[in-house]
Amino acid sequence: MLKSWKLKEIVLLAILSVVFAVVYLAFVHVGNLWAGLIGPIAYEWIFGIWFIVSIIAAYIIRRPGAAFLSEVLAATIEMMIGNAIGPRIILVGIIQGLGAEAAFAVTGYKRYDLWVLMLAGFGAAATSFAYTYVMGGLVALSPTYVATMFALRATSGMLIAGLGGKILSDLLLRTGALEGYSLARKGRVHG
Amino acid sequence: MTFHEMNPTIKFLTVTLLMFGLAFMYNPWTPLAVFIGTLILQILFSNVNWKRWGLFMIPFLFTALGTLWTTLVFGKEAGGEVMFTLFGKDLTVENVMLASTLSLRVLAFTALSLLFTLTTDPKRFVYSLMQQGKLSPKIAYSVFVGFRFFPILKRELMQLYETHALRGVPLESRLDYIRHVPSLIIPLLAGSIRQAERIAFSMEARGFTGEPRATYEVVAITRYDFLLASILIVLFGVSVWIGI
Amino acid sequence: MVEAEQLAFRYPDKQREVLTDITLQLTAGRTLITGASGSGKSTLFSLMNRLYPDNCDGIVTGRLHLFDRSYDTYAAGEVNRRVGTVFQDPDSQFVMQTVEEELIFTLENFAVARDEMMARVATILAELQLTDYRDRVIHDLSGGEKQQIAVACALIGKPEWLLLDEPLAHLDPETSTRFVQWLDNVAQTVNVVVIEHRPFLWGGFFDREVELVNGRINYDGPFVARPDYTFSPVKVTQGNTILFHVPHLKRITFKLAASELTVAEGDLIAVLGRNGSGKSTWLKSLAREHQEVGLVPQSPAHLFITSDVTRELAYGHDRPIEDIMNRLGLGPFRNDHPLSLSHGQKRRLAIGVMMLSNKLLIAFDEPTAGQDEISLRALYELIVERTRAGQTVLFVTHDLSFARIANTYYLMREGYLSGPYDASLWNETELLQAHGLLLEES
Repeated sequence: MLKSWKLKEIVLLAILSVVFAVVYLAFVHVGNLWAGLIGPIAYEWIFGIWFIVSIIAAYIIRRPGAAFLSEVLAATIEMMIGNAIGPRIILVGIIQGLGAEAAFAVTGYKRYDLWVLMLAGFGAAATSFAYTYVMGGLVALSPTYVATMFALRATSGMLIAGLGGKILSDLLLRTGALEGYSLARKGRVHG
Repeated sequence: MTFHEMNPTIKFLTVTLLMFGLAFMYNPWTPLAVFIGTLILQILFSNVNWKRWGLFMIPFLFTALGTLWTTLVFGKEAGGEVMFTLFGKDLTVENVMLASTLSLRVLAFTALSLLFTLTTDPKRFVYSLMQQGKLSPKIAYSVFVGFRFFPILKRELMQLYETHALRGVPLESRLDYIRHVPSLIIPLLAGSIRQAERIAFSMEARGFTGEPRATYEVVAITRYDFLLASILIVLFGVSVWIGI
Repeated sequence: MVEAEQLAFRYPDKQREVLTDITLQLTAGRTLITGASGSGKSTLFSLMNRLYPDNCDGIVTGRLHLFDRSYDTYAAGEVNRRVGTVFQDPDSQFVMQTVEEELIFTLENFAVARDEMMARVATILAELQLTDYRDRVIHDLSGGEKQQIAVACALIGKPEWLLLDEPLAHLDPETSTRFVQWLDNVAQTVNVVVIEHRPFLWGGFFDREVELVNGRINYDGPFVARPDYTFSPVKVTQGNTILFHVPHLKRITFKLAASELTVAEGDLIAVLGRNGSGKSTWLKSLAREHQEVGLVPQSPAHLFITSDVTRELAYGHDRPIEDIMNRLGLGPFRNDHPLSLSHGQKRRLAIGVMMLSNKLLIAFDEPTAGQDEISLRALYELIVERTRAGQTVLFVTHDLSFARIANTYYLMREGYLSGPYDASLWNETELLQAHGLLLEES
């Protein structure tokens, strides 16, 4: 899979990951305080922030594996620069990445419109929720509460990661920095 | 024989295995035993800065507390004897046991994670993933680039804040700084993307191809790695037994 | 090493050729490649170390041989064992944390035997007189030091050729001269190709020069040493004087003494000093303390907050922007993202922003760094136009040729500001030398 990738594309993933790792870390600290006050549901509405790098990477690079790989790279780098939950974060990265990747795989890596990006956000939300359900023991909670959590996370995934990721990438495209990546080329063909 | 010397990939797999195992234990004693046991092992087989350990632990104490009371308040209806009433909700023994299980699970997860984080040099971990985990050098070295890029990015971020403040963007409080993040992220990303391309080019110009390569830093596997892994697994076994 | 015949190159989705009809034979020795931005010199350079065409999917026509084979017969990384490269930006050519790790990175790429590595590292560092840097963290080194390490990383692979892409762009004149002298000493057995648009910094380093204009070879022959571009002083009319105080500042590694700056309205002021003397820190301090001062950072892109030129100009006030936008030639770009503009346009947009926010003093931080002659002339014109309109302009620089345009001078050394001086400063040899602005032999 990696053979056809240009090195600059993988390095781009790593660099995107660092930018978002910085953002993620900031949100973990904000999130923890919240969590103490209102429980695990505190994270749910901002959960999309954690998926956004997948969507941006896949949208810009348009190769199979971009969504998955970027999330795993982000998690690894986040661990390297000092995230206390260390090994768990890599696991979370793998699981979320698979969820986002699934959406692009289902569409045969041919469509990168808003709906597919939102589907990827939803996919990441779904797999990561499955993980939380098992690891966090959500089976102990009332079904309504669990459903609310999931609804919040899925919405956040679709809006913050899907829609937000598209808005950010399109803005980036306008800055001319993406010259030489798939998104810029595709844009030119159609427009 | 310490956790610092332990092969990072094996350590990672063992710790992950234990965490997965814990996810299926629904009694408060198992996570409690894992938590205490991990601490004891850490005292015996590592040289950890406990002040740092404490600092890392604090936020997760909050999470554990949050988990405790949400599980109590939003927990499933469960039968049995009512112990007490909270916010107009009758709580049974089973409710309380479940809530403490999940709350202690958070602490056990954190202790295990810290056992890994505080004894693992991240660079060695990546080398080990490359050598034992067959991670592609393209990915591994991109991780190194990312890691090296972190201070450069922080400096860039500070410069952006500085110049934007000079342009009259209100940046008085911490909240102002956070609120300004969305407008910073585009210039930050745009600059970083251009740098990413330059770094990739210079790697290739130095003969990096992503193919298997010579390595100076060799991360070995020794019998101590299996011994330490076994100790952790035994700890888990004992904790499960305590729970029954 | 390079043998090209009627070589042409273009990017995949553009019609215009970046290189046209290049017929060239690079032979042993030291070759300079010059040309303005966009002349194709960087593209030619990237074809030499085979970063192109693969990385940009560019289209090559004509014949291009590297050493004795056609470029497209090389496997990835193969030619890079024989050709070492040093790039322009000291911050984006390293992968690892420390100097030693970085050197090992090259050796690992070349599959050097493990037990040979440490010896190779020690040898190259000794040969290049860099042994003290072995355990240093690259991030903490100065620009000049980073470029030396980049050379070490290229030479440790024992290449036959060394390519350098504007390696002096971010260095001050003193550091540049030292770097060239050092390179002259250490590059005895390797052939060198350098891209540079200000060859005077290299003295008599080269024996051949190739000049590109619009993608074609305009000159190919012996290198003739020549002086730098010259700029004539700008005539100004001085108005009332204003006094700016800059308080003292203490950082962990650095101290800035309190200083006073006397500014006559309409004046053109240059603040000179070597890299790391504190002039940029001082300038930031000045801008922070005084709202009347508008700072244009070295990379003007840092200034922009919004997502199009119109909004950028209108940010933070409600004065009309049309007139200034058109005067600066930014009208056609009104809906473009500020970051998508060329460097020159970004600089004009920055000036527009300062003019609209009624700044009394426009202050540029290192406006000449990495700029070619055309861009410097454009900057000159812009400053002339502004001062004629009565605007006060100050710039911080280590570019001594460009500094000649100023009317009043200040000097910075180790956090101490001295001045004002007038143009007679240029005769004060000792003073200039003490500030790292004049080299013994010039």
